[in-house]
Amino acid sequence: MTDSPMLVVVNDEEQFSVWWSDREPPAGWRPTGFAGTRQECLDHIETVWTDMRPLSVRDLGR
Amino acid sequence: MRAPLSPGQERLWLLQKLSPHDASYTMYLVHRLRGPLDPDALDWAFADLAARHEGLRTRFEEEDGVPWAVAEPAGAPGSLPPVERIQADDEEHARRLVAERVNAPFDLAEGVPLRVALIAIGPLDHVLCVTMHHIIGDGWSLGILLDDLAEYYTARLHGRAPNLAPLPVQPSDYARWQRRRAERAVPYWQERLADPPPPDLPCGIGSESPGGAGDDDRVAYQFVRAGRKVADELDRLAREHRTTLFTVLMTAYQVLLHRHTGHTDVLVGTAVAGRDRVELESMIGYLSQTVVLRGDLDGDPSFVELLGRIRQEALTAMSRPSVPFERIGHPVEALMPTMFILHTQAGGPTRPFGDLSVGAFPHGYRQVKLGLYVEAWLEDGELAMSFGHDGSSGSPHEAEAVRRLADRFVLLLESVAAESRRRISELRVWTADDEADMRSMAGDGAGTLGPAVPEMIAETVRRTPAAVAVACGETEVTYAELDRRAARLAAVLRERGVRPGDVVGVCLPRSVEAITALLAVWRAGAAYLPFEPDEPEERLAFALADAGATRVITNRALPAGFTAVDPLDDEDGAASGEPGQTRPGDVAYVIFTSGSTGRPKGVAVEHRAIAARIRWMREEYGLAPGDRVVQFASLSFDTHLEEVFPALAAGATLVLLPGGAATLPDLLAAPGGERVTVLDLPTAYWHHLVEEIDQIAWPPALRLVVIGGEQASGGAVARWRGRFGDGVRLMNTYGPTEAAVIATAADLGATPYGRPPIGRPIGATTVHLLDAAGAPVPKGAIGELVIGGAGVARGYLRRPALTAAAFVPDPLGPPGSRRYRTGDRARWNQGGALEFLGRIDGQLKVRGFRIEPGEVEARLLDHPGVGQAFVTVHAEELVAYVTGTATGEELAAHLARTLPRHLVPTAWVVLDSLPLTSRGKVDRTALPAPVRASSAGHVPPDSDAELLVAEIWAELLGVASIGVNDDFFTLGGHSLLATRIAARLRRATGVEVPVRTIFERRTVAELAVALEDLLVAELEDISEEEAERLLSSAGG
Repeated sequence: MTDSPMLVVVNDEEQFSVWWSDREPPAGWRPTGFAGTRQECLDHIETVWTDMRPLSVRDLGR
Repeated sequence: MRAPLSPGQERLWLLQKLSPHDASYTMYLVHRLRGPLDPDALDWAFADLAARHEGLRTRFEEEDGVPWAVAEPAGAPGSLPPVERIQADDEEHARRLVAERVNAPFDLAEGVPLRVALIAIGPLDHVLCVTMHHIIGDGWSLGILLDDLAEYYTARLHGRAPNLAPLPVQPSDYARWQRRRAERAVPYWQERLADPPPPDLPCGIGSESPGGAGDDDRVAYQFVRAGRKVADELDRLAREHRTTLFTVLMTAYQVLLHRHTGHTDVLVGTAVAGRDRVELESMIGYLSQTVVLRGDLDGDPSFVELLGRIRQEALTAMSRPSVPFERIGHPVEALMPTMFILHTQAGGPTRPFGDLSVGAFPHGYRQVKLGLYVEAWLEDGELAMSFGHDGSSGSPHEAEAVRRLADRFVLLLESVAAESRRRISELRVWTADDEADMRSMAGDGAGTLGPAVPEMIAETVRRTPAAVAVACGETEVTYAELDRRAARLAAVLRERGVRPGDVVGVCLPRSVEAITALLAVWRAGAAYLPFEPDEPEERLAFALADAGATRVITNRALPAGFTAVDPLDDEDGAASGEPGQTRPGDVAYVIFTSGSTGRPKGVAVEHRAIAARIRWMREEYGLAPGDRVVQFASLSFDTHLEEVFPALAAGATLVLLPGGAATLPDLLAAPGGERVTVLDLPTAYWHHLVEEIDQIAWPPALRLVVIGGEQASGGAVARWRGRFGDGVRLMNTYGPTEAAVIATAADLGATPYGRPPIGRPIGATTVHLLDAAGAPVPKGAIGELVIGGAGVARGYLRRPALTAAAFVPDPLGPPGSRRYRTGDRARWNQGGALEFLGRIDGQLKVRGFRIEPGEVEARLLDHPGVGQAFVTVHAEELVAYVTGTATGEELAAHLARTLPRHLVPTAWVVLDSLPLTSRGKVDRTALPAPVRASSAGHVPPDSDAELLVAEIWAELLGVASIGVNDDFFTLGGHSLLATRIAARLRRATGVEVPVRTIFERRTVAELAVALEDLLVAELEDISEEEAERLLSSAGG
């Protein structure tokens, strides 16, 4: 699993995770366009996921 | 003539000596002979047979522990196997007679291990039953025996000379030759089988002691068949890849094991005939070799690619003589947990047997040599298979589980036949029944909507304002008062600038103020971040900064940059603040857990998650007004939520332990203790209480004990049931902080077996066990436990990559939902409950505390006097192995500055270097156990009280010699042991010794004085000599 190519995916709450590039992401998740090894994907997420609050909570200013 | 044994014979001789009642090495030949049978000719034929084959007249002698094979000369008295003649009442009787014989062990000291019985069913209908110990003959030998017997019988019948070529080699020649060959093969096997993987088998087989001798009821066989088309296709696949059907089946069997255990390093034994030289072909003897094939299934290869690897392994391994497992340095269970054998020999004789027709007869053999023993053979073009299992899963459902396993193997073979180019993770192996099970076991993640926890508590305040919410020592606080105090403190927090969405630290001793503080933070719309009252300053500052918290409700001084809020602060007009509505998506609390890279990580849990949990607990634990729930857990661990909030939401009374958790036995023994109804305890602590079950003042009102945090012991559960029957409910719970306290629960009730399970998913929760490819696995297979549903945390504060790696898309949940990968290994048992099987990574649990050894090692490596560091657990203690110049004392002080107490090792071993395995990992088996020495100035105990204390310490601390000035904690004592020491002293003297005394009087001398004082106080009426006498009789 560690070696297979992965995608960075994001849900409607703008929470990030990784998914196998050869599998359709589950409903409610979409690829961000970044692909690589699992570690590359996680490193990418470390830089882009700057506000970790779910979107619905962010809107309330919390 | 006396000869040494072959290595294989030596091993069997030893095994039989170790288990004299074990019949699993009894070989049998059972055939139905129809037609006119000449008994004299048969007797003569057996005599001829024994004359020809040395093995059939060989007995075994022991001299100074060394076995020798002694062959009687041909024709000598005692060299002829007596043929036992029995008249059976009917066929059924004959079956029983046969089964008795094939399941009987041999005593190798008692002459030639060969027995022959001729059972008559009718005048023209007999059953021949030959049994022998494996040490004189293998499966191949049985075919020779039948052939040669048929020839001798026919020759005697017709008065002609037998047509058999003389034997060039006898077993004694072979044994000498094989001993030399095997010796040369030892280095190969030692290297090939170094560092064996954990011997996991499907369905938990091998985890308990096997059925063994005299317990044949637990041994069973499951038979399945793959059809002719599949068999033909597998045979074709073998030829296409220039190998044999055996190799194809062995490859498939390794895939079956891999899909059940997740291991990519797989060991399977098999048997080879060992007759690769023409002169060995017609000999009766034990020549077959048990060979272990080590499959490398790494990298998810296609089946045909793996077939190539196994083919190579088989060619290399099977050409070498095997050597006794004892020579390889690992127990047989580790090297060969299971076997797979393809039988290719024909069933009947290849020569005429006089005028008799030779047919099959049921043998009724019920012995299994290993946990799981699979045999296959071709029958009418179909592939027949038998899965023999020995009951060693400890489960009453083992037969059902192995039956399912055998079905899966057939499905896998069909899949291989149809799509051999697929990756092994993609081959079909789970049946339709498995798929249905997985769906029904996973649980329902849909959360019922309901109020948040603060609203639940507000409802209690409205309903029962005068009821006691919290009891702490003599103090009792009603719900109305608790609410008033929380409102006031919340107003203070707002006043100090706390806003909804903020995180507020809480660092207070066990007190009403601490409980008030938690409620106040919520009332202010913020999340609380709890600490130990004595949290190291550096860690406190790190966690606060990491969580973005600047305010802490505490009485202690804080590092610069943080503001302390006094828990009793009461600003004018502050009480006016009304609680705002709690939003389900807001963070309720943050708990820091050990981080493997050296940095602790803050888990943020939202109100909706904890609300779902508290609702379930209140319901499932049946909490109601009148319940008294002890608050045992430290606030810095999330277990406290399971105690505090279900109780407050139900209108029950929360009973605090101001003297610390370890004083629980004191609380139970004190007035009021008898009214406690619910206890929630770390499993490790509960184990210790159960050890001293008769010394604990268990409250008569006790109705529920919830345990969790570690694997519960079956013995402790049995002991508990023995004491309480069904009178006190015992619930085992499991869950990580990342899934809001608990995720599964099991009632450890009436008839537990084997490993107590962690149960099923609780409400609003799903659990799936996933293999390495992320696919769910069914009953009997091991996978990573993954939790979905309402309890999934928001993530790790300011750790995007860690969060994204652990909180992953949940394809089985609502759109966009996430599930948490625990890193725990588990298995669904046949009853549909989860069994916890430890960690995938190196995370430890010590006395219920979750510890990443990497975090402790990282801090140790910070110290200039440390070269290498390895941290592990030994006998409930955190042990550090270090190299370098620093002493354990220095390092403990170094760690205590940055780590909470439970992360600081209590045993230290300084080594020149860390022992490594051949694969470069720390060799745990080579690490010395920590040795604890009593202090330098050793003064032996003298008074009776000192002798008694020292004796109890020595036993519970495992230290040989204890001096009066030795300190309980320096010797490795901890709160769990303190409980047991108090209990032992009580048992010995009849005097109630508070646990607190063990902490306060830390040396033998001090504790002995305290004990004498207690005894004197207790026995004020009687004389001092009398007291002395009591003490001395207890000490002796």
